[in-house]
Amino acid sequence: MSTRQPSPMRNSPARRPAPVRSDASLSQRAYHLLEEAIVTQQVAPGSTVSEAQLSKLIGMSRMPTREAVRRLARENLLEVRPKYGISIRRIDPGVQLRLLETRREVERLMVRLVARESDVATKAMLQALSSDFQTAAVRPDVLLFVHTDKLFNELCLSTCGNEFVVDTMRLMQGPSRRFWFQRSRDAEILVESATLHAALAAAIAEGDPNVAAHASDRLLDSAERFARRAIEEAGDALAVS
Amino acid sequence: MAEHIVARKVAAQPKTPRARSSTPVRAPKAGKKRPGPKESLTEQAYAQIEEAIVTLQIAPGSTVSELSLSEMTGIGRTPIREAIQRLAREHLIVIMPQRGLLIPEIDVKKQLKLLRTRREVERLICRSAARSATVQERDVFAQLAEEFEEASKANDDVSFVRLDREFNELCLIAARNEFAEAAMRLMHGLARRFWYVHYRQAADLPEMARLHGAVAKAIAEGKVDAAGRTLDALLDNIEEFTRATLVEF
Repeated sequence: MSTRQPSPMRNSPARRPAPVRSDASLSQRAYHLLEEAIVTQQVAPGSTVSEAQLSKLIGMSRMPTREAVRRLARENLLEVRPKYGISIRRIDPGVQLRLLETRREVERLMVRLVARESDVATKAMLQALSSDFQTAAVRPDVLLFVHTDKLFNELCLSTCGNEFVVDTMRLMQGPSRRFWFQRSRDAEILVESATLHAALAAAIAEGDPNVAAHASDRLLDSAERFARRAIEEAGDALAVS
Repeated sequence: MAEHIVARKVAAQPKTPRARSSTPVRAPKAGKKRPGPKESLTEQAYAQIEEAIVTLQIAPGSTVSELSLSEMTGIGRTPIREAIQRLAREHLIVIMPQRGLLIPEIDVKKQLKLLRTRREVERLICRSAARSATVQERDVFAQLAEEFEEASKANDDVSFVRLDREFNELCLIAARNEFAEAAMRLMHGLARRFWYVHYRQAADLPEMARLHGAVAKAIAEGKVDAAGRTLDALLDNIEEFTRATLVEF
């Protein structure tokens, strides 16, 4: 690789085991590793990389990497440009606002369904996740927040019982996770977001769809406000340069 | 009356049939959409197989193979395989490892779940379209509203199907939200197949055309809340139609 051009990838490759079940197929595993590498910005937003580079980064062979790349293209995290390479999409707060508009509607439906469908065991898990979110807000602890958020999403998706809600939420997951991973470095955002997530998880555990829907709207109000602020900051940065 | 707000402002555009059919957002009136030369083999394979499943040329409940789909379309195995993956994501094919491909049976419960999700996403799309549509797009929405009204009065199912397709595409363009659009595209095929199976027995076509016209009119006039309300009324009707298929026999 050229020494003049900084590598778009950080030095520490994402080789630790991905949080997937052991029976998950190779391409599933490649997908999880690569998604996490992009979400946590080990592969820089806006950079162009080759399939070989990504394959090396996640330590997996070309075929599973190729399938993972295709799936991540559908999930709006990258773009495959024939004869040019793989462009990792920039983080664009404008895109994020459109994502949040869609997410608001579908997430409201999802939490309504989860509130209705949850059994005693699921409610106990939601309570536990709620206190983890609370802990992440009090410390504050980004990694605990991101990790709890992933578990919370997966629990909601597997409980809601509507495959079309699941499909739609999965379309948005990657760009959403990457944006909030970046923004959560700001302690104010982290604390507010983790607190509202704690309230949402607890509201769903109450089992009242309307209470859950209301908590979801409050969370999305906050997310939209922060996304708008990110747009203003981007505008200021342009004005300065 | 439908055109009173926006269409007047674009009086520079003569409202003749020729000018109308040259509107860039509007697809040609007659004929099925044929894949253009620029579309990849995968897209061609996808379009052909999707059409065959949605219009029941491949029967619900039947099994197919990569080979049979390749023979049916005259397209090679690799593009077929990719098309199958996409159709599986759209719930039109179920991949059974080692056992081939299943075209799923019609499932009313699943259809009702689809409608619940579609209602939320499509309400957003119609509201966004009412807010963001360009002047030209609003002009087309106003025309569609009138044509839905005519199809309703004439009980004309062929026109209705064509208008419905144009209306759906235009909504996706005018809403300018790639996430809502992608979500709708995941659901379109299954929704169309269900309609294709049942509409002759169960649908109140004039009413459905009228309700579509009301949404198109609200979007044309930029009435955001009305676009959402009329869309909910339309989805109520479609849900009723879907439930009615349960007690048909």
